[in-house]
Amino acid sequence: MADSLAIKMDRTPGGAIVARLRGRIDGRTAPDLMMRGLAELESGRTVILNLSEVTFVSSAGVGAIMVLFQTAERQGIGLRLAAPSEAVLSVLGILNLEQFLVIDASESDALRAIGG
Amino acid sequence: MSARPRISMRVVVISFTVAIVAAAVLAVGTVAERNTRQALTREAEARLLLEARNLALTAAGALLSDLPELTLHPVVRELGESRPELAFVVVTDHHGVIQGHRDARVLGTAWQLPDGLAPAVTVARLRTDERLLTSRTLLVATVPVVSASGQRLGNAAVGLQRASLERAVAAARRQQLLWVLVVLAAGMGVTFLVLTALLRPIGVLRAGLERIGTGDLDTPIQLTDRTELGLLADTVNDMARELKVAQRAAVERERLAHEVELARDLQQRLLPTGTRTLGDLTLCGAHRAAAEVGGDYVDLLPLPDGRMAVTIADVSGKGLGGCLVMTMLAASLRALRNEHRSPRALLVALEEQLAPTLKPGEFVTMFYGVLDPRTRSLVYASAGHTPLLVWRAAAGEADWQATRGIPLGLMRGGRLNATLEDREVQLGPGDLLFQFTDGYSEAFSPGGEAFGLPRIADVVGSQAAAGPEAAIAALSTALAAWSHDRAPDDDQTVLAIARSAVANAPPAAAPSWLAKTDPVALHERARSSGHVLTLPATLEALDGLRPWLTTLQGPAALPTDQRLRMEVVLYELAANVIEHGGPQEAGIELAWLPGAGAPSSDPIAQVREGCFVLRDRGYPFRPERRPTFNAGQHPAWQKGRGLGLDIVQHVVNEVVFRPGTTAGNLTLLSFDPAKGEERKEEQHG
Repeated sequence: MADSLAIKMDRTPGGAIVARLRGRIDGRTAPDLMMRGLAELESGRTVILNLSEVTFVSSAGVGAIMVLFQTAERQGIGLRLAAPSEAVLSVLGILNLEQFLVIDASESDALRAIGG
Repeated sequence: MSARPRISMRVVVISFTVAIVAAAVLAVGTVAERNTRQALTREAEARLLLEARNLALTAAGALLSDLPELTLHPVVRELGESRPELAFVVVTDHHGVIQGHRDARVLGTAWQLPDGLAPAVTVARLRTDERLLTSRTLLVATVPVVSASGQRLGNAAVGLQRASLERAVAAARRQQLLWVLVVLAAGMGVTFLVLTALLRPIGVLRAGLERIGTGDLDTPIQLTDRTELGLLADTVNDMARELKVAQRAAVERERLAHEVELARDLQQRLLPTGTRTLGDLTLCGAHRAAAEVGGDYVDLLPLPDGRMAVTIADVSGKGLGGCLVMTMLAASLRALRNEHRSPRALLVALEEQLAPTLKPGEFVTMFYGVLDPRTRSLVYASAGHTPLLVWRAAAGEADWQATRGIPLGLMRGGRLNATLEDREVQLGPGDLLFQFTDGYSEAFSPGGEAFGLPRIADVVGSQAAAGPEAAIAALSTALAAWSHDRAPDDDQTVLAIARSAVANAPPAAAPSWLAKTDPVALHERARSSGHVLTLPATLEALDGLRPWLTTLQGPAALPTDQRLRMEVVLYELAANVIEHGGPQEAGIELAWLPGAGAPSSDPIAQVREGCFVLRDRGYPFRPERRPTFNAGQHPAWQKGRGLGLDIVQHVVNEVVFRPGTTAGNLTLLSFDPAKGEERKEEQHG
């Protein structure tokens, strides 16, 4: 459905989590993303959000990503955004948030960066 | 509950049962009676024949004896007594003379069969000479009396009254009827019981439906019935459950609608819309709420020193939650706006106050600026808000102002403070500031394309010359077309600030001969023209102003309203000198210098070229702070002389103040009667 968000989580051999997101991150789907992301971060794993197939990010979606980012930061682990789509980049750009986030051009770049 | 049906089902069913049974009984009874009658007739015929034969056997012996009547009489009588239904029992000899009869008196007479007898149609097998006759009242069997040798001795005849046969039929009918009645009564009883058994669950169903009707959807119908009625009860229970779900949904919808209404009301009360002017700046706010009310906020808040705080914000939460955050924001801003001169500092302080009320992931993008109408400058900071559009009228292009500021409440640890910065924008004539929420830039077409910033700049730029309201209206129209008139997904809020395109320039902008002239020399020339008024430095003395003006050739010839404006301006200037200029022992002196050009018949041209010189000897203003008599900067004008200021600004060409000259403090004033007219045209046109 166009209104939903599919989240597929994989664990890399290095123990990081790659979450591939597909669809819309909005008021309906953001809480789910936040909960699942927080659960992974609680266990101390680096999380890579592959945002290449995200078609829309609402303010609630931005809120969820930023909560995950700051949680990761507090825990001293990384949260990386891999290959964000134009929809994601433009929203983060308007809000001036891309200056803090760790953004990789591709998922493999992100994996290389964490040495996994 | 105790309502009774108009016709009970019992009555209906029992009536039908009775009618059907009665019809059946009638049909069956008619057939049965015919059969009974036939059977009885057959039996009676056989029996009558048998009795006649027996009588003939007995009579055979008797007729051969000498006195047959003695033998036959008791036999005949016995037979007649044992069968009272027999009409007659007769034995005759071969002459037809009665030899045996119940009535002894007819013995020896000739025997005649009763009239009207005809041979009966019968199934009984008749022997030789045997006859079976019938009439309406009788059934008669005659049998020949034959001796053992076969000699015919006479006849034996037995007659049966048909009435007895009818009696037997009637008796059979009575019995049959009795059975019918018994069966019918039993049938009605059974029907009644069955109906009662059926009606009980109907009563339970009815009570249940009535409960549902009164709104009780919680008590299910308790009916364990294995017939269709049980199914019906289950269906009704299902229906009640569904109704309850639907009812709950309806209540929830209503609650949400109410909440939206509340939020919208709150928002509408807080947000100023419409147009205000501030000097030559026009400020215009507009807000359009989405179906799901967002947390947009726009406000214009006057600051004590004549500046104006302008702000626009977008709370990420929607509905009542977002609206409450917005309300908090509005309250905090009102409290904090006087404490921080720097918009950056204000936004940082605001985040501190707001942070505890925001849920994780909730944030506010906010633009806050301070507008100074005197310098036509805006000092602002933007916290993650959409870029500020500055339409530059001179260049005819958009000058987007993007900053690095992040939204309030999204990131902790001083990051807001690190990214925010105070910026300044200067507004030239005709320039337009346009700050909006993402309800504009992120309005989607049916195809999913966002309206975007370049389109906003195009629309706003095309209408900038027509003023901020026109620009906002044009943008609304363009957005409606873009989204195909779909209700907006997000609040659309905008704040537009325009500077008038008409060069309402301050006097210094175009230094005229007045500013360049030596004030003392000008004063001397004015005095020598002879048009001089000297007044004591008291307000009462200013009454002499009007009579003096009527003596001046040019000013006196002006239309009344223009002359009155001139009078008011001079009165204001003189009164100001008297009030704020300190001791004025020498009084104040006002001189009129007519235009130096060729004498004109047009008083307006004359007055425009002439000038007034006002001299006083009170305390001079400090030149470094007030080098010219600029109405906008003069503190005396700011303290309670707003109306005068307005009039002076509207009608004077130029005012130059030269304090502390050898001739005293000189105020040089050139007056343009046509200027006030132009302004009036502008305001009404």
